[in-house]
Amino acid sequence: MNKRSLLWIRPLVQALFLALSLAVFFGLIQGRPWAALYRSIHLFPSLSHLGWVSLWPFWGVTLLFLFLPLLAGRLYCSWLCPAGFLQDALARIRTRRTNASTPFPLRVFLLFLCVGSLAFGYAAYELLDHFTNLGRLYGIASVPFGRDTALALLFLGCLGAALRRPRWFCNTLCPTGTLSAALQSRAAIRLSISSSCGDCGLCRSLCPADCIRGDSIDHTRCIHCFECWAHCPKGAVRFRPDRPSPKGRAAFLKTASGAVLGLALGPALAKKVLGGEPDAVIPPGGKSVEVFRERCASCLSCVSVCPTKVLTADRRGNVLLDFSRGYCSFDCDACLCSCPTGAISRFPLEAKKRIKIGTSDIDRTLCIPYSKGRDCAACHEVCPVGAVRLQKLGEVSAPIVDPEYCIGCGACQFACPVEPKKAITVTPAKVHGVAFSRNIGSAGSGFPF
Amino acid sequence: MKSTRREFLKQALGVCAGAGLLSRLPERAFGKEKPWPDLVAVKGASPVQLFEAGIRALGGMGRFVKKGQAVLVKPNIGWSKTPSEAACTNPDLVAKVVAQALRAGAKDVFVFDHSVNVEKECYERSGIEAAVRAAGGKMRSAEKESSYRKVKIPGGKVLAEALVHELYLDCDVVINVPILKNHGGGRMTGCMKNLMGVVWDRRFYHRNGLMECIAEFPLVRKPDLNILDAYLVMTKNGPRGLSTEDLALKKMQLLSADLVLADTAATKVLDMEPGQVPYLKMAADLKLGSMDMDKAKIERVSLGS
Repeated sequence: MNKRSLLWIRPLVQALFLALSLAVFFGLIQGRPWAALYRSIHLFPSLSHLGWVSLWPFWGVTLLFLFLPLLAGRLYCSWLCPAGFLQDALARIRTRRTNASTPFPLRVFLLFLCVGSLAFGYAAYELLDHFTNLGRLYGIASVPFGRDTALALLFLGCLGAALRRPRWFCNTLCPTGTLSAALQSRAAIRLSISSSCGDCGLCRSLCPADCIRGDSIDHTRCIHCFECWAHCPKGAVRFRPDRPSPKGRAAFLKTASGAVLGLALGPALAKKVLGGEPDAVIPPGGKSVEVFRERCASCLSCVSVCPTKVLTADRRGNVLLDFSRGYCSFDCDACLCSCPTGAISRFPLEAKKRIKIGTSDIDRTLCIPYSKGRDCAACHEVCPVGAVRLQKLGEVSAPIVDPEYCIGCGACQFACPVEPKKAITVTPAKVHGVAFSRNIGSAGSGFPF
Repeated sequence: MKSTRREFLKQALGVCAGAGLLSRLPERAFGKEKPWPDLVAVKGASPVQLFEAGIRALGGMGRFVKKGQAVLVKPNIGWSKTPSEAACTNPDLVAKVVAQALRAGAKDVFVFDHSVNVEKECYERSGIEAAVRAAGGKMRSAEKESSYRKVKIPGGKVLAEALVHELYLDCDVVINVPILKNHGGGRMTGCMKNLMGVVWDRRFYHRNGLMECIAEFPLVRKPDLNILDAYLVMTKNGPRGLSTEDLALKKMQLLSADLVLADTAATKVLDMEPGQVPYLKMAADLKLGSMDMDKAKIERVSLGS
């Protein structure tokens, strides 16, 4: 195969992975094992998984992708990253090549800010991470205007910076980019330009990361896309084992101090951002409001896949169920399957059906059979677990809730015809429990002996 | 005149075909309309077999669907439940109704329901979408308000006007194909309650008088034919059902042009009395149909052993 065919294969692969990201966020490949596999290659949301030590069949893949730059450089950034593809496409339209770079210690500082806060229970990477922000962008129409909208637009702006500086986002803010770059500087095999270079400047003018100056490649910014290698008319770009030149103690100290500062400030960030919990129902699998808020990066992947659209976020970016939009569908585990961070744990569907995310309660001063003496039973009709029973009240049937059976799915609240304040509403469970199941199946009565 | 064997065969074939056609001409073509039964009750076979026998006893699909007409088949697809849970109409039955309507010459056969659960899940899990497509029918969505038109309900006191799905208003023929179930709010769901699925705002019913609204809605238009699926019947915890323990195998089907009459008979299948379902009396008072089982001409067809 010709070297140069790489020049069209790479955009093709990138486009494919962009399409995959759309398919994953919008639930088109819901439940397929490779959908989870696909999510696990994106370092940041997946790495946070390791922090919670939750069981996940694919975290080995995440580790593989973590150490991939040590072997072959930032292949993820150049070939698989959807945000990278968008920037490359923009840079094709117009960009300036000044070989400008963001100081590496600053990038390391941002990375360790994420790591530091993660250790103290706040997923700060959510502010910077490409995959999380991509999700926000996809889900922008599903949340009220607020923090997530602002972050999504800001992210879009950062991608747009490629019009002035190629891959500015990747080589400034992106935690995955910085982590991979740090590892790549120790990569076993790297790109380098040999002395046979004729200095024609072709590679400099085409490099998607604008990281070539003279005949040297800046490995903190190189994304290992191999374009220079494929383009070079003299075959002077080589891809081989290479000893990195020592940077000197000063450079190391600067980078290390960036890391230490980030680690130190991360927890402070965590303390500052957390706190002030809204009284809200969170998705089944979230376990408890506290745990869920710590782990959720508000990437809105659950929001995008939710078939009833009950999942949304408030203006501060807290993912929650809004029963004025819909209800939590009984036969559905879309959000449990979609969460890349493990904030929503993946329970089997049958277990999810009994997770108690809240409890319904009837306000008899508003409820139609109680207050107006007419039949209604809209809540009873839709209850999937038989928690809303009907009792005789004169001529009519009036609803009554058995709280121990109620799972808090909100079907009753959504169906309730009383406006504007509903007569039946769900009170959130701060810590999720398990609801009793109506005696279905056949325990029967009496003994067989 | 010399006639070849081929010509003779042709003529003979023509005569036979003509005779066949004549014999199939309905008697009403000669002014002696056969009094078709008001209600056909069929028992003892699969939903599709019950329907085939039932519609034959009722005069055939050709009595209701003419060539070139647009037909709406309205099953119950309200719930994200599988056919074995009997919360939605049996998909094979719906497909058979669609197929027969097409064979009777219908130009288009549309199927929809304003589902309670998410439409896509209901259409899929009920098996109805796939079955209808295979039979040549057209599934239509009912989850957008833009498909509904505001109409006055002539004579409606509680339900004076409603947003009604345009297909229910515009199709030449409406075939109502509900499934019989116990119903907490409505006491029973059958032909009349099933029509709530062509209305946009079901909360209005609950808010302003469920029984009255169910009774008054057919004033805008009655279905031309009702096929009530009572094969597997949810006798308690309806309309959603908690488990298959709520179901009883009745192997029955009721067919009638009179939706009140079919529902009245259906109360008996659920071991109830017609008086226990308030909207039946209201509808009968509005002259939407008859509750008089004694006066009605009922044909009972038993299939199987």
